[in-house]
Amino acid sequence: MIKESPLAKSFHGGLKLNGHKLESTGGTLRSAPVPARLVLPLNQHAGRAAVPLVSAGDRVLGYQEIARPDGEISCALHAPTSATVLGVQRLPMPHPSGLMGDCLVLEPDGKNEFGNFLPAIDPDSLDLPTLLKRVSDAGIAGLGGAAFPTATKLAVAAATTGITLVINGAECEPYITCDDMLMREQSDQILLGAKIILDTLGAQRALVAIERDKLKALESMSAAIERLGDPRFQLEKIFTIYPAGGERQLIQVLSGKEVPAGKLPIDIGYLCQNVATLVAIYRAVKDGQPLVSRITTVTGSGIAEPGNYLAMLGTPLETLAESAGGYTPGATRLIMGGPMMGIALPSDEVPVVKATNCVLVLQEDEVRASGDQMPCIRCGECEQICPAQLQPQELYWHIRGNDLAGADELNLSACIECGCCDFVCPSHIPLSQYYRFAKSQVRLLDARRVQSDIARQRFEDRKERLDAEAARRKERLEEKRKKRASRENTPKAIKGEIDAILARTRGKVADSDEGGETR
Amino acid sequence: MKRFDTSGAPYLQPEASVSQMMTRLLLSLVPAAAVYTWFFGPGLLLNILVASAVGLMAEALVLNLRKRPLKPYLGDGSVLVTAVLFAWCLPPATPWWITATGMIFAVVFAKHLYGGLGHNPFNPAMAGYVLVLISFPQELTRWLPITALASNGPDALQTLWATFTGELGGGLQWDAVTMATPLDYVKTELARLTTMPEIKSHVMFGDFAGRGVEWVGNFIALGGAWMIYKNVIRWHIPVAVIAGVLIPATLAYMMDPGSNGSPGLHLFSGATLLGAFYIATDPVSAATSPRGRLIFGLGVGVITFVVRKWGGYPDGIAFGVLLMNAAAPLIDHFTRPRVYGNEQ
Amino acid sequence: MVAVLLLTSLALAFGLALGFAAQRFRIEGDPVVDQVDALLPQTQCGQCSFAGCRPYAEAIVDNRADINQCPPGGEPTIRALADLLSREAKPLNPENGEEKPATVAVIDEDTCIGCTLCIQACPVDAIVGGPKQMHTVIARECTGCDLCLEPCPVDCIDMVVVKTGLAAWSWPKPDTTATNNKSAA
Repeated sequence: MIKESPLAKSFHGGLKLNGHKLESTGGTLRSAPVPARLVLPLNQHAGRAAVPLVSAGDRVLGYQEIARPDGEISCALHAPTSATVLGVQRLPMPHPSGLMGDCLVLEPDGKNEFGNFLPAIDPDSLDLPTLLKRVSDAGIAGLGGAAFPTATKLAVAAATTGITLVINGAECEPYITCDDMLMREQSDQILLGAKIILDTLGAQRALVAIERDKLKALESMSAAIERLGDPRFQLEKIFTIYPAGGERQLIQVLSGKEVPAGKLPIDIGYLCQNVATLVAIYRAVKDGQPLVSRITTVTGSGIAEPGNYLAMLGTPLETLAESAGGYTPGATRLIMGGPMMGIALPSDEVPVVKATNCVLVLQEDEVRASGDQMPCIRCGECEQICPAQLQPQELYWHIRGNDLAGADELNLSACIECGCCDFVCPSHIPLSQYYRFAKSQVRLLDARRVQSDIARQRFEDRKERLDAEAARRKERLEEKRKKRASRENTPKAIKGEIDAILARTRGKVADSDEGGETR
Repeated sequence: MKRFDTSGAPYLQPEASVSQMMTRLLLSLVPAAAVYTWFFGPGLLLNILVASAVGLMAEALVLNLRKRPLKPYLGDGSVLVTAVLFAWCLPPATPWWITATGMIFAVVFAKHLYGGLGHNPFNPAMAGYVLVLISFPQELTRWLPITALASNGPDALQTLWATFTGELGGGLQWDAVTMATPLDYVKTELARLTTMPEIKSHVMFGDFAGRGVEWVGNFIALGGAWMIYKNVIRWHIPVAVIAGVLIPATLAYMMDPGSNGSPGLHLFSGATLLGAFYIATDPVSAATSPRGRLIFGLGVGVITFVVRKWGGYPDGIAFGVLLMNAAAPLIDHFTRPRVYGNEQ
Repeated sequence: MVAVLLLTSLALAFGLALGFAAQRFRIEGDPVVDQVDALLPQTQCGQCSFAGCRPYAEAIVDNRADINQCPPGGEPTIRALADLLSREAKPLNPENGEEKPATVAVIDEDTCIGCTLCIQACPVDAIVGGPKQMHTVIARECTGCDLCLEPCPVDCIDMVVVKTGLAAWSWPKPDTTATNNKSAA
């Protein structure tokens, strides 16, 4: 049953931005060519880096697992196509630091041979442990941009009953359209993937959240819901305000409830999944296909032919840009992600990773000039616009004055780094950069505090030990003194004592000849 | 392989800028200034001219001393706004040295000594005005009546002469050409136990407040409304200031119409509307959160009313603004917004 | 007369109340010292000129020492102490040392003679070993206090800066000096 509820509930603040969606939704989904090299960073998800299972010289088939997860929060990696492994190399990562990281480099052999490593499972006869294992084996991470290992997220969600699944098709950030295209072209698979989760996790309903102005996607998804005929699915048209697609804001829009500070959405019974992640889950179950490719929007005025491309993980952005017609003259900024929350990359030799939902190339005149900051005039626009209801200005003053503890007390951790405050600031202060800095510093300081608490404990334990030893020594001396005081002073008694000491010493020497000396 | 610039976020062009806000503010005052000139002569424009010139020079000098770059700060328009608002509070044909003193104090002491743009705890225009009010009490009461009433008032050239020399030429005497402002008149007459209806029958009054002043008030309010529409300011402070003046005024008027000014008189006299839309809304010295701004505005309005009714000066906007500026950090502390996911 | 009697009786009443409160609500120990100690980095290095973090905490509370004497704690610690005690946050006193990047001790195993002098010196027991056995530093527990360097007779201990990779990377502070503080060029 399709239940459409026009939503009156909303979140605080938010911006109506120029969407720039039409540039990349003109054509259909295209496939990016197989590049000469596939570079797969071992750490392209939240948590610990994956551990390589192959070494230089090995030949791998497509879908073969080439790195296994390490620990509870980690993700596996698979070969996108048949290739020769060139080894693990330190190469530039698509990371704001610009640092290098360990990457498995593959050279596709052009034969495109795929193996059958994960057997197909009937989605209707799937139980929870099998699903979790399959999702983990397939190396699925959240494809909305955060790349959190999906198996872990589902395992945590499984502990709660009666949850609501939120199918996040909001895609509120300008320029990004990969989810829109997916909803237009693969709507059935999205719903079938969601159905798998509903059935195995015992969820009561699924809310399909799509922005109002994504008309084609709405049409496609609502037709798919009709075809599926599952009464648990409900289509929710949400207003086009940035950042309605953020988990916390989306839940607030759909239910009016807020996720309590320090908790996760699952703690109030909501599980959010991006549409692309759901398709990946469906394919992993039905076809045994691990996560080896994703749809990436390549757009911006710096790209000649913007569009959406199905690219293998590990494709260098250079190849992707070329297949999109290459750069236009004047292209100066390469951003992974959207213009509000994305990160600027120093070069296009970095690869597509699980988190690459968009590659945005901008020209000089579209990008704001840096370094023209004026002092804060306390206009309060940032507070009016903040979706997390923070006071960005106050946070700014505290962070600027190095009072990070003060900023933390003002609920800095509630900041979702959406970038709305930057956009409205008339003094052009890069506010979200301050918050990113402060949050990472707070994390570092907290880690330091934990360390110092451990060090204090060790110090006190050591002090105790030394004090105990000193006390024991004192006791023994006391005893000896007492014995000496109370003994008889006759020559016979003294000789008896000396004999006893000699016997003891001889015994000790005999012992030490056999074993080691102890302190 | 192509290399790219990686200056940090944010990437998109911002919508607003400080100079855009200030420019819009000044534009919104043009209609009101034109109406003022129509009724009261060119005195206001001369004041604005002197104040702007002195203000810019003072700011340039101080920026130089502080070793800061001139272009962004002189170009952001904030000193021009201070100059215009300060000049508006002075009587027309104020001698230039009074205007200059006030502006120098406002720019150097009340703004730059605290750290410049964004750091002043007190509204510079009001700080300058209060200094001048206390230092030159006589000159600050030389208000000219509307030109329609002053058959022998100074004309444009004489106003110019007065501004630059402090003296009226052409055989005119200050006593003869100046008239008390409506608020002044009301205050002194009430002290002499004249009743309101009698006071209001004086020729200087129009429908509810001083003639001419009412019209200027209308245009100030229009300008203020346009600023709210364009998001230069938000509605909280203007509405709160007006409420803060009107609510006590209405109550007093209802209790004793004979010896209290009507709400209309209060609203359209003195600097109520100018203060509500332009002066109290100075973002740097006001409170920041929406709730805080309402409290701030209410405080300004109430203090203004109290000074008008019981205080020593005919108008209390300057004092209201300065006193609430002092309270703004406290107000901010207690009106923090409730953060998402937290109870409070 | 009435006034004198009134004030005297008030004074007596308040005096009794205070005396009662002093007995009834007495607490053992000084909780403030614990709070100050909780903010110190626990390197027990002695750079503050006190014999460890706790003595320094006690000295701060007694007003015998200033809050800016701890180099391993650096500015964050000074700020936290200033907040806790409502004292002025000053820059780190250069006489006590300077803020340095985090280091850990590393023993050169080729040179170590197994004398256990460093083991005895380490305030957090971060060195493992025995007499005539190889000594080694447990890097995770080492606080970088430098106290093991002096006792070593063969000078085989080095302080190595903790390597920062992707995992330890953090966002840099944005340039706060923007237009506001740039000198006129």
